This record gives sequence, structure tokens and C-alpha cells, in this order.
Amino acid sequence: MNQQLAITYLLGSVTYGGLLFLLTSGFCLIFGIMRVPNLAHGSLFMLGAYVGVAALRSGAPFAVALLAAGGAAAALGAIFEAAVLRRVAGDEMRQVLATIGLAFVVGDGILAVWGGNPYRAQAPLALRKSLQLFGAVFPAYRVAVLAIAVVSAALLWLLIERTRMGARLRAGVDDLEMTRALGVSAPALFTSAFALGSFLAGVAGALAAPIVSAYPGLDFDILPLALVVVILGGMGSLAGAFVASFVVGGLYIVGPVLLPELSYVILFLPMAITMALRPQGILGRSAR
Amino acid sequence: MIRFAIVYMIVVAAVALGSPNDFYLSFATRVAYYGIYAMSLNLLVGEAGLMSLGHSTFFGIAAYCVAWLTTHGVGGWTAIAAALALGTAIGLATGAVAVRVAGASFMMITLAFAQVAWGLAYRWVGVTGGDNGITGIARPTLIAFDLEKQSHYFVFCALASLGAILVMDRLRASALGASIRAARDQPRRMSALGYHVWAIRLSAFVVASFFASVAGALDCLQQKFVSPATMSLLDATMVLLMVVIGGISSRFGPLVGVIVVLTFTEFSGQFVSRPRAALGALLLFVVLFMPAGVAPWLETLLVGIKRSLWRARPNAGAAR
Amino acid sequence: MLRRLGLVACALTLWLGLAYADEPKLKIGLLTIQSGPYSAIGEQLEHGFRYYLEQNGQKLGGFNVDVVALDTGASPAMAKSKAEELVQRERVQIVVGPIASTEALAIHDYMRDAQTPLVSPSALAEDLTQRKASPWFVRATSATGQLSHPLADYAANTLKYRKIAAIASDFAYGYEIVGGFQRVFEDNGGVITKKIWVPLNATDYSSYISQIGDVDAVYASFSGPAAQNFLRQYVEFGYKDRVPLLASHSTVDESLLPEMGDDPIGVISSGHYSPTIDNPENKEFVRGYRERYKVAPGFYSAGGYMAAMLIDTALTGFKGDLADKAQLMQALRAANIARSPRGAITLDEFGNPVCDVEVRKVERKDGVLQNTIIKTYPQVSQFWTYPPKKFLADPVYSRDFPPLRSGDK
Repeated sequence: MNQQLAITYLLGSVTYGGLLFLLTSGFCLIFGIMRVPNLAHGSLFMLGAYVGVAALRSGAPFAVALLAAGGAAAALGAIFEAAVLRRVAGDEMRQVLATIGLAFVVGDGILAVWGGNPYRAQAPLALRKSLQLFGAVFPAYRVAVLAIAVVSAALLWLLIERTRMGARLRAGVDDLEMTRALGVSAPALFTSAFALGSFLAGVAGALAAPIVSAYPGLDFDILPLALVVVILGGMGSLAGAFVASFVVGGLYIVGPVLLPELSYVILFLPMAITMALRPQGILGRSAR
Repeated sequence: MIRFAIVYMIVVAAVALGSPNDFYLSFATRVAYYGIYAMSLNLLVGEAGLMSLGHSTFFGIAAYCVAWLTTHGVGGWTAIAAALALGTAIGLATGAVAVRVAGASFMMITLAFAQVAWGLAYRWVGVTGGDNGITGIARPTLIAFDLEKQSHYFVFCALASLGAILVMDRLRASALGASIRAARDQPRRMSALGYHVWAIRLSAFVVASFFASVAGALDCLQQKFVSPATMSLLDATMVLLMVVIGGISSRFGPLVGVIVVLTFTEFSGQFVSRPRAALGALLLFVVLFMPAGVAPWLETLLVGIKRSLWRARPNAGAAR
Repeated sequence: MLRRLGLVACALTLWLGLAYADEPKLKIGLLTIQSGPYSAIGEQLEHGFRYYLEQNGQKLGGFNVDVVALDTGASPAMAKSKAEELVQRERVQIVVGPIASTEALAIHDYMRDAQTPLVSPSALAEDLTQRKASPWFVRATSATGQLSHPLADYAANTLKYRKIAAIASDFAYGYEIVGGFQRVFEDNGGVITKKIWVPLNATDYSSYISQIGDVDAVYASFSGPAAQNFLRQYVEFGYKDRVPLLASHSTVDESLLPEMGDDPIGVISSGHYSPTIDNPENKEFVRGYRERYKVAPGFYSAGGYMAAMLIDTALTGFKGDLADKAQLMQALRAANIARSPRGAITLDEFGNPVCDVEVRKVERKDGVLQNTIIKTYPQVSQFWTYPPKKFLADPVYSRDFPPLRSGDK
């Protein structure tokens, strides 16, 4: 493999890892607090992609489009949590099923509003070029996405470790009963966690739109990727998701080149192996 | 149980004799073996408390096995037997790994296995035909039956379904069934009492995979076609929906769920332009307002009707 | 009492009169996609089909038509049960559809057993009119390879390319279209250096594109969002400027072009329909369709339209019994379309059209992207210039057939 290809693969893995982290951070947050695997996460991501595209087409600057996308997803998430999830709190199975129901409804809703053809999103003008890096040609936008991912990771860390809300979230993960006994309202905690997780999914979708386009079916194409990262990294662990995102990014980019025969199974085999050998993932807590 | 069997046979006879054409018979056939499929999933979801998103793995593997063998010169019954053996063997292998965890992790790992199976079906084109699938499948011969006739195949599936349901019901009522439920409710206590929770869960998993394989084999012969679509994520969630909508803790709830979901997907096209959203809404409705599923709700309804009919009788309440 | 009888008699006569007043009706079942991610192409197909009917006063072959459209959701299992519903419950005489090749294969045996004519408007799978040919099947579209054979000829003999790498979605349609290209390209002195297969749900194409290597051109085949994303990444990773791109018709389908920006400009593809085909029938079709549906017709709308036209042509002058499906099938197989938006079309002995295939280039005209025709290959058969017997003796195009000359896969 020559240097140019190696650089391309390295950059590709790392930038894809960044995108994956943005995708999965929301999922991890929700699972960490509420112990609910949000199977509508892909749908919220897709909603973010479509809203982002719509905002860009109506002339909004990129940053505003991102916020609109995140906001739309957060609003939907908050409403869903309050109206549905809260009512089946405590029953994990019913909660997961409710998220499946939401996924179906959102998927068809998007189809109804935007139709079946894929939409193209344009990266912001300044990033619409390709860079020459060590002999390899690489789109600037992807590098920007990586930067955003790293910054988001840092911001999330700050939020969780250094703010009051973060403290509450952490307490809720560690010991929910005690947290409630100390006066923190569980409903408020859950709604904000779900809203924040949804916000992150929506923003990730809008950020990914220039790379993957907005199309019906995006939700269930992207959801397995999120699940793989989350399992590898540990279901509730943001740090684990961060590490796993780059591992999976590498697998995804380099795997098909080294092992073309296994292209369809390349993601899920490691997932299955992880679950077999170390169910809690790289950085997760011990199995329940 | 006898009562159930009698009612079942009456319904089967009515359908077999009264269906105006093969279209309805095909629909009824699918209801029959989906009944096996859903009941087998309920062994995991309802009885063992393990929510599996990968049950379609065994359904699909069995279907492909029958398809491939029958198009390569192997007789129908041998093919079916081989498919059941293969499906159950894979169930044993994957179950051994999967039941080490519970809850969300179990769900994820079953999903992972299902995606691997789906990916293999797509990629292993030499064997599976890729997304073009396998066609040209013939049904086996059975004395006195001409299984190529839809009405005969329907009766065959209905009988197979009845048998499977009765066996699973037996299991439910047995000591193993009780320990499966106990392992669901109180795993730690069971462990402390000396029960091997992992082994108990694994038995449930293996039995479930066996019956899912039965359903898969019957599906392949019904459709005379198999493709990776059988093992898609969407199809896997469909059967889960059937179980949940029907009622996971009720005895024959999943059967009700099968009828509801299949009728809906088959006939809703005229009334509903967005079937997937409608299904999602139905799921949300059931989760919120009918957590025990439609079957118990139906039961209460039936009991209520019986009661009011009893009261309406002219001599009801007269002193005995 | 007498009055009541009289009223009943009147009502009965009226009812009987109404029931028998209509001319004999042709009941047609349409298997389309109305739900799920592929509903857009289902809509296009149905529009094309119904547009033809509208232009013909809801008649085909002079007979009044009753259309029953059912949704398969792109699922082969649903396609089968809806096919059964159409044949058994609705008792249609002809079934048009289904849209996807996998669906068509799923119902192929059934339609043969049910002895009901099946007209495929869009399913390209080769074997439907080759190794699995059925007397109850006709196509109003083409076989996959039929579309890529001419482009390979053009690439080898006009563009003088010698080395080409192929990159396509990893599924049957991809195998068939690349296989067809490879066969003719290599028989004309070219070499396919490698075949890069991309999983259907891939979101990143860089690791696949980067395997292209040192070649004269690339032949790519993708559909829907994959086509959109592939083209964009082909540009982003610097290949568009360096390596010319040849493509299948689906990669630059009319429904996708508006959303692709400048990415596809210059891409040369081959197909059997483009709104730019220059004949009076097509000009009228495009004008009218655009007025009715606000978009130009594409592969699927043309497919629906041509299916209707095929039935119309076949049944014009039909003197047999409409209820006899075997007679209908005979008429369909004998159909000969002299003039259409696609030019002249005849059916070969397997029920597949022999038709014109055009080589096109994407360019921007009046601010809008279109596939401009640069060469027309007239009356191409599904077997190209090969004798059918020899062609059929080979296996169907697949991942490994034709095999790469260098021995790699």
C-alpha cells in the first residue's frame, strides 16, 4: 500500500470515527440515564438530516441549520418521552417497543412530508473543496466534521463532569433512587436526557447530510452502525463510545479493502465477538 | 387444551371448505405457520423475558436450507429435517453466547447475529442466490395429500401448527416452563437455589429456535421463494410486533397478534396509505393502553359478554 | 301487489341493462410500490401507466380497462400475496409489474402456474427472459446486460479505452450490468482490471474508490442515494478530474439528476430511455407528461407507459375471447410496436424487447442537467451479437462470471 492510499485510509478512518461519535453520543446518553436503547435513534438522525437540508435550502446559514435540526429532533424527543416513555417507565421491554413504534411513525412521516427521492445537502461554501494532504486528496468537509466531533466530545465531557445538570445526570446513572431521594425530579431528568440525546442525533444527521444525503431508509441504514459502536464501547459509556467510534471507523474504512469477501459481515462479527467475550464492551460497566 | 384443539380444527375445516379461492387459503396458511413463529418467539419474550430481535435468523436459515436442498435434488422431507436440524444447531450455538447476558445486551447480540445472517444471505451468492433468492422450489409429496394444492397445503400447515402450539403449551405448563418463568422473574434467587439459570434460558432459546425453523421451512414451501428479505430487520420486528400486540403473558396471545398484524398488512392497503406508520401507531397504542396485549383485552370482553348474556336469561338468578 | 311486481321488474331490467350495457372489460392488475422507501419509483411507474390510459380514453386495444393497483412495499413476499390476490380474488386477465427484479423472480413461478400473463415494466433481471424464461411472461423494459453491452462496445471501439475498473453495488443488478459490460468490453480487446463491489448500505465510498488503480476509465453502477453519494465522493476524492467515468443508467437516472449538482456532468452512460430521445412520439410524451405531473418522465415512468402501450398494441384488433388468458398471452407475444417514445420495438422468442439503446452524456442545458444522446445502437437484442444458444449455455452474469482475466476477483 503506497503512502497516498495509507493517508487516505487513515484520514478516512479518523473522520468517519468522528461522525460515528456524533451519531452515538446521544444514544449513549439516553441509555446511560434511562437504560433504554433508543431504537428510534436512527429516525431522529434522519429527521435531523432532512430538517438540515430544508433549512439550508431556505437560505439559513449552516450553523443555524444544525441548530434547527437538533432542535426539531429534541422537541420530538422531549414530547415522545413525556407523552409515551414516561407512562411505561420501569418496563424496559415496553419502552424499547415504544421507540420502535416511534421509529416507524417518524420514518413514514418523513416520507409523507418530503417524498421518496434523496436530497442533497451542500457543505458550507468554505469547506466545499478538497485538500491536498501528504499527497492524498481529501474533502475538507470531513476534516471539519472530525473537528466538530472532537469539540463536541470535549463539550459533552464538560457538561457532564463540570455542570450541575451533568452532576444530576451522573447521579441518576449511578443511583437513581438516591438521586430522587435527594430531591432531583426523575421525570425532569429523564426528559432532559432524552431531549439532549435527541438533539445530538439531529445535529449529527444534519452534519452527515452532505456526506450520506437525506433519503428514506437512512434511519435503518445508520442504526446498526450506532449499535455496533455502542456495544463495542460499552452501552452507557460516552468515553467508550468515543474510543469505539474510531475503532469501528477504522474497521469500516479499511476492512473492505483488506477483506473484501467479508464486506457485509465485517461490522457485525466484531460486535458478536465482543458480546461473546466481553459483554460490557471496552469501557462499560460489568454486566448487569 | 382439548377445547382449544377442537375449536381450532373447526376453524380450520371452515376455512378449508369455505374459502372462495386460493388467495384466502394462502393467507390462512401464512397465519398458521406464523402462529408457530410467534409462539416460539413468545417462549423467549414472554416466558423467558428475553427480548430477541434476531429470531428471524432461524426462520431464514431453515427457509434457505429447504430451498437449497430441494433445488439440488434432495427430497422434501429430508430437506425439512435437515433444515430443522441446522436451525436448531445454530440456535444452540448462538444461544449459548446470547443468554449469557440479559436485557438490552441480549437484544443487541441477537440483532447482531441476525444482521450477520442477513449479510451472509446477501453475499454468499453461490449458495443463496444473493438478493435474487432461490426459486423453483417444489413441495414434497405426502400420502393422501397433494401438497401442491393450496387447500391441502393449508390443512397440512394448520395441523403442523396445532401440533407445535400444543407442544409449546405443554412446555409452558411443565416444570421446565415454570423454571423458565422463575429464571425470568428471580434469576438471583434461582441461582441461589441451585438452578443453572444459563442452562434454563438456553433450553428456552433452543426450543424457540427449533420452532422458528419449523415456521421457516413451511414458509419456504408456501412462497416457493426465499430471499434475504425474509431476514431483514423489518421482518424481525414484525414478528416481535405480533407477539407484543397479541399479548406476551397470555397463553395464546401471540396467535391473536398474528391474525391482527397479518390481516392489517394484507388488507389495510385500501384504507391506509401509510401502513408502516399505522403499524407504528398501533404498536404505540398497545404499549400505552393495552400492555398485556390484545388477547387479554379480548378475553375480558368475551367474559363480559358471557356474563351479560347469562344475566339476560329469563331464569337467571332464580334460586337453585 | 301488481304494482310492486312491476317495480321489481323495472328495477331488474334496469340493473341487467346496466350490467350488460358496458362493452367487454379488460381487468388489469398493477403491482406497484406505494409505501416505504421505494414508493417514489412506484409512483413514477403508476403515473406512466395511467398517463397512457388517460391519453387513450381509459382503453387498451379498444377495450375498456379496469385497473386494480396493489401495493407490494417492495417486498417479495408481499408481491407474491398481492399477485395471488390479483389473480384469484380480483380475477384480472393481465398483471403488470412488479417493479423490482427480486419481486418479479418471487412471483415468476406462480404466474406460470396460474397461467396468467405477466407484463414487466421495469424488472431487468436477465434470467426472466433467459434461463428461467416462461411462456407467460413479457417485458416492456430490457434485460440488464442489454443495456451495458452497447456501452462496452462504445468504450472499446469509439473511446478506445483499454483498461477499465468496475465499481458497483454488491447485488444481482450490479453483477449483471457489470457482467454484460465486461463480456463485450473484453471481447473487443479491453481488460477489466478489477471489480469492486460495494455493500448496499455503505455510506462511505472512499475505501472502495481508492482501490481503482491505474486505468483508462471507470464503469460504475449504483442506484438512488448510493448513486448520489458515490458521484459526490468520486469528485471529492479527486477522481473525477483524473479518470473518466462511464456509468449505468440508474447512476444518472432522471429522478436523481436535479439533486446532484455538477457531479455527474460528463458522465457517459447507456440506457433505453431518455426524455431527450428525438422522435415525435417522445416529444409529445415528455411534453404531456411534464404538463400533467410537473416532472420529466424517466426510466420508471417510461416503463409504465410502454407496458400500457404494449398491451394496447397487442390487443388492437384482438378478435378472441378476453376471458381466455392464453389467447391474450399469444397476442402479447406477437406484439410489434412500430412507433413509440423509444422507437420501434419487437419481442424476441423469449418475450424480451429488441429495441434501441442509446449512449448518452450528462450535460447542462438551459440550466438543467440532462442525458444528451451521443450515439444510438439500433434494435439491440438481449444477447447482443452472440448466438442465443451459446449465450444461454453460459451461467448468468454474477459476481464471478465472467471471471477476471487476471485471476483476481
